[in-house]
Amino acid sequence: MILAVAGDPLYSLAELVKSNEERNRQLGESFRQARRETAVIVLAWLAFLIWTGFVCGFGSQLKQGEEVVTAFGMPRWVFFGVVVPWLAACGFTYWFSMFYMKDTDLDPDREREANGEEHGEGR
Amino acid sequence: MSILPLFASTPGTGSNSALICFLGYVGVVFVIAFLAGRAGKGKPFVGEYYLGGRNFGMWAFALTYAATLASGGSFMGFPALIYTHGWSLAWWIGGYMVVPLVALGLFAKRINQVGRIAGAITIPELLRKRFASNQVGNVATLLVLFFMFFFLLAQFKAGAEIMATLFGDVPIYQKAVAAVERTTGEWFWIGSADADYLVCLCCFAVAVVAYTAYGGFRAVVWTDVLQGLVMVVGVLILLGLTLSQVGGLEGATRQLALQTPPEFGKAELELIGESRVQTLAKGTFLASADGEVMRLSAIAIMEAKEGPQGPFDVLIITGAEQQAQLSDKVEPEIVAHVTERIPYAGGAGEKGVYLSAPGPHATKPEGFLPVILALSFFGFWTFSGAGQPSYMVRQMAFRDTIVLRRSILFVAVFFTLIYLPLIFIFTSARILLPGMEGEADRIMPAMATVVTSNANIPWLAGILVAAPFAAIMSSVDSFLLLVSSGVVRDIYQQNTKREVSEKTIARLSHWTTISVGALAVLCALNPPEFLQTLIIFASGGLGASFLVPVILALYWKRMTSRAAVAGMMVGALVMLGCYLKGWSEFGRFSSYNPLEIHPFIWASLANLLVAVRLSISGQKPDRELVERYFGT
Repeated sequence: MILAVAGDPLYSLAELVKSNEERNRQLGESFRQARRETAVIVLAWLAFLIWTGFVCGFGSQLKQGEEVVTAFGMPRWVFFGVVVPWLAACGFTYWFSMFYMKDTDLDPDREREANGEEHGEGR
Repeated sequence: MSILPLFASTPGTGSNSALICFLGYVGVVFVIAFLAGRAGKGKPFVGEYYLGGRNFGMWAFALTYAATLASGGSFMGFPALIYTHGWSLAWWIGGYMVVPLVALGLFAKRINQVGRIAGAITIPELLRKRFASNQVGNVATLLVLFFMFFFLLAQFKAGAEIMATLFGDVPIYQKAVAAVERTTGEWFWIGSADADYLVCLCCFAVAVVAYTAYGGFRAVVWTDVLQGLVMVVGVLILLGLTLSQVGGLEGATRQLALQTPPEFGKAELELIGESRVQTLAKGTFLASADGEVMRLSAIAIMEAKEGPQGPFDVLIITGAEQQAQLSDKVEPEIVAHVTERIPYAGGAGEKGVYLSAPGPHATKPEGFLPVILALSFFGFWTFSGAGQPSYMVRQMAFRDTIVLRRSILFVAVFFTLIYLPLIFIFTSARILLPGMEGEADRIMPAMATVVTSNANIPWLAGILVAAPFAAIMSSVDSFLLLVSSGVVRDIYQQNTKREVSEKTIARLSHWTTISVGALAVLCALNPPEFLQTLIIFASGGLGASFLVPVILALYWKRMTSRAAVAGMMVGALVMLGCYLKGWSEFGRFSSYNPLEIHPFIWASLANLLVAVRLSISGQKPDRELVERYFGT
């Protein structure tokens, strides 16, 4: 139970309710941001699945008697269907982790903890 | 075509310098674990031993994550598959391009936050507190323990096999093997394991269990950092050496285009003239009277008499180019007469089959990787990776979101430097080491030994072999810890009524880690044959049980405890059902893939359906509980 500081002389009941509301508001906000980020990731996953599936699915079939076509030393379908999207995925990961993902407070109860509330590892 | 340097038999004979180099590496791991154990002294035991105090920075967090994810499978099973099925494995592993993004981005932030709010140390504990339900925690713990144990078995087997390859004919090792052979030959269960495997298994287990039991999570993470770096460096050196010896990637691909799959068969062997050959080692190259080249699949004992003897199992090399390339490696005093031949069911006699998908397959006419299976693997790698409790628990240990953001990028680069080179190396391995299909699981150490010998730097094999060994150690240690945390934290601490002191918990944790390790060794004495199948079963089972409930627990306020329990159980049961059906259908430990889709996908879908259906039809969760974990 979070509000286990009842009886703590440092807090009046009003302050307690206020701080709890603030905590919940901030946590709710970070939850919604995390949900948005997750949606973007799922869309990116789908895009790369389609890319590799399309290029590898159509490009990788064996054609008897045909000369092997290579790109940078590997079969062409591997280069365009795996290596290029792989590098593109790295580029996307850079954009996502450095620019899109927001920093957030991971421990909304830290201040309460400091004020003597039961919390964390010891339980 | 260029004639490449080849080895007649499995190059399992490590040089002494390679051995010293390797042992030096293991020594460094021990020192690190010791220092980590000392660094954690004086801090609250449980949080420190199992989660390193939730305070890891980027290098520690990213490398422990990546090193744990790249397990023995990546360095033993994966190379074996590339070697056997060719370039189609590039598509098979393609999902790893988004694994860092999905596995870390999907819920690392939330799981860390919810873990802190709940004060949870393990995933079952997190679920228990998130749903305020002991039942959820107990079911989760049992599932973790069940599937994780299979994972441990696979990793122990891989570790022991690498050591066996590396130690080869080192005198002290051979003496130890002979002594063990004499002692344990008659013992129940233990005696049925090969003596060399037994020695290596015990050495490996003692080493890993000792440093994990002593140093806990911090030791695991610190050694992971070293092991992660060794992996990247090892793979890159191996790539450079391999490509320089096959005439570049282009040269390797052109040669591979001419290869056709081998044939399994039997041959009678005949001694020529006054030959005194008595024992033929496994892997010896032989030829028939008309020049067809083959390899012995097992050791053959010959009698000193005229006429054909046998038949013996052989692997028949096909294709004129490969046969010409191998002709000077053939044992000259024996002539073989093929009595039986079984071609590959998929891709037999087709040139270029190693360059295309679905790739050749010994028993499946449709080949190794039909389109639907390839697509489902893309989902399997990304989401089953995200759903592993051993990786999830790491996501509870980073310090702040800055560490997380940098780590996602770091892991992406790390995987690129490991997985793409592995594909290049082991498609080229078919050129350097032909005819290894019978012992493909040993291709990684075999390649390390061959390319370093060819380059006149045999000691380097020690470092190269240390890379997969590092991968295995870094996985074993974290799985050990996960299993022991399950026993101590989720079973003992939850179910004991009285207050337990820190000291008791500490002692119990150390002993549980040791006992779990010992039990795993006992079971790994006679492990299933196929390493990668075991790994995919365990990771698929864990993913199928945990991915959906954890995502819903973190992102869906309406999720109920009843739905979590039912979802986890349905996921695990569907996975088990597919493997049991596979077992009864194919006669060996293998998965049954309905509509060619991996069972993990079916199990996760079933899990999702059950969880959503039960949550919606059930009572709304307590508002206070929702506010605690989701805010307003």
